[in-house]
Amino acid sequence: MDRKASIGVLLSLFLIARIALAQSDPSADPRGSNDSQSAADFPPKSGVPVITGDSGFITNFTPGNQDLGPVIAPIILVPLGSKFLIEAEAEFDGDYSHSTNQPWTHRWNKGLEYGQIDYLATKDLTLVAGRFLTPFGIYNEGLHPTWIRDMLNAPFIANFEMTDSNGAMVRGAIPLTPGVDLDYAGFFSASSTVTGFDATRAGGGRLSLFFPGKRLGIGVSFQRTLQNQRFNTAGVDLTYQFPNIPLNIRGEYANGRLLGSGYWVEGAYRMIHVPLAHRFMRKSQVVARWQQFVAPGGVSVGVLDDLGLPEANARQCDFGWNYYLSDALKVGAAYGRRFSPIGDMNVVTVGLAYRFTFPLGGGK
Amino acid sequence: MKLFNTLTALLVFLSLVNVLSAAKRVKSQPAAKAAHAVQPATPRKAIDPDVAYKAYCSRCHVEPRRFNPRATVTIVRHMQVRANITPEEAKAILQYLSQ
Repeated sequence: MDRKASIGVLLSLFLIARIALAQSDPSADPRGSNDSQSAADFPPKSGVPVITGDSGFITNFTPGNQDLGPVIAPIILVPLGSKFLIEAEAEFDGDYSHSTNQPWTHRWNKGLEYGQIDYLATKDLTLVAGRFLTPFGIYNEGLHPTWIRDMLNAPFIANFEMTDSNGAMVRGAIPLTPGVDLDYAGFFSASSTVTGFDATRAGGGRLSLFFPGKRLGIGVSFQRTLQNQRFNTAGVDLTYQFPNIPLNIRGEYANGRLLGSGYWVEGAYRMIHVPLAHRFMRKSQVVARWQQFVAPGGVSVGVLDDLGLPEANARQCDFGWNYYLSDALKVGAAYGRRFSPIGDMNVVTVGLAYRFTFPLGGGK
Repeated sequence: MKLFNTLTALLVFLSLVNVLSAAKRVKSQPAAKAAHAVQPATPRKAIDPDVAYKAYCSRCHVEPRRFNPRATVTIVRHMQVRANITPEEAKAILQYLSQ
């Protein structure tokens, strides 16, 4: 991203935050909603700007290679009135790599993950404009922050959906019955080659049924890429939380003509109820994932490598463990075994993730 | 052109769902009014804050510590958009986070 443009964007966001703070100054509000707010005033009429985000450090070891991946992704949230929200996330991630008998190489990637304005038009409809996370599957929008994901490494097919879009989106949730919500998101993205704001010309969306009482979600996603080569990518996803045990099950399948196909299934169990070493166990979580990737025919290894996909068909099982030092800080480790025609290998990952949040007003 | 047709079909489908949902609400109003005429008003069954939090928030992440109420309003609005949460559900989650 151009440095002047970055400074301009940051200054603009700071000014907007100041304006929003001025708007929400409790001294200017005769209702005076602040720390002293009583339960009767809940929820407060207006929010305050918040800086949040996450940082992490993930290290991968594969035979002959070591990759260190520091990342910091600050987010600013600025509410305007009762219907608007400006939200932006920048991401700075480093890639320090080392192969046996080779010197270390490194590079830093900077980019705007999203910078969007949301208009909560009706209770069923939100309009979004700007740069946003592409609504495809569950990983890109929901699970990609390092403090949220249960397995430190992203699954293979997350690279199908790890894209940002520049354009407009409609989304929302429609309660069909008291026990079922229809969630929807539809978008159109224009092409951009500006460094840090790059996007592909595409259209698509996601539809899902969510059963809050059963804690079950089933979704389908579709995307039509309209740039250079035109092709479809489609996927299905599932999330389920067991009612009586702290076990989450998630899975996704995706298929793109030029990307290949694949799936992952993951289970994460929080060991709250394990009677042994309770103080330790209640902060621990075990995770297991199985995934498979089927490489597309006629696509060069270099293209797959650029997309972050394996160079050939691959299956991988991973077992991980996370320890939550606090709600905002966790350390984790995982061991995986990859099976591929070009050679099986072990993948060891260790890392930590930290979530930070600084309200810019409203008291502690 | 295919994409246009797909998006149009999607919009028509969503519009239909919206219309049907609105019609259902309108249809239930006269009955509700009649009920009000003969008996004291009873509050509409609210969404349980605990259920709402566990269904919508815990499906992705661990429970964060509490922030001040006005910062919580901002964070919940952010999640309302990101996780497709209805205003009623968002209000229930705010209640859970205020306990």
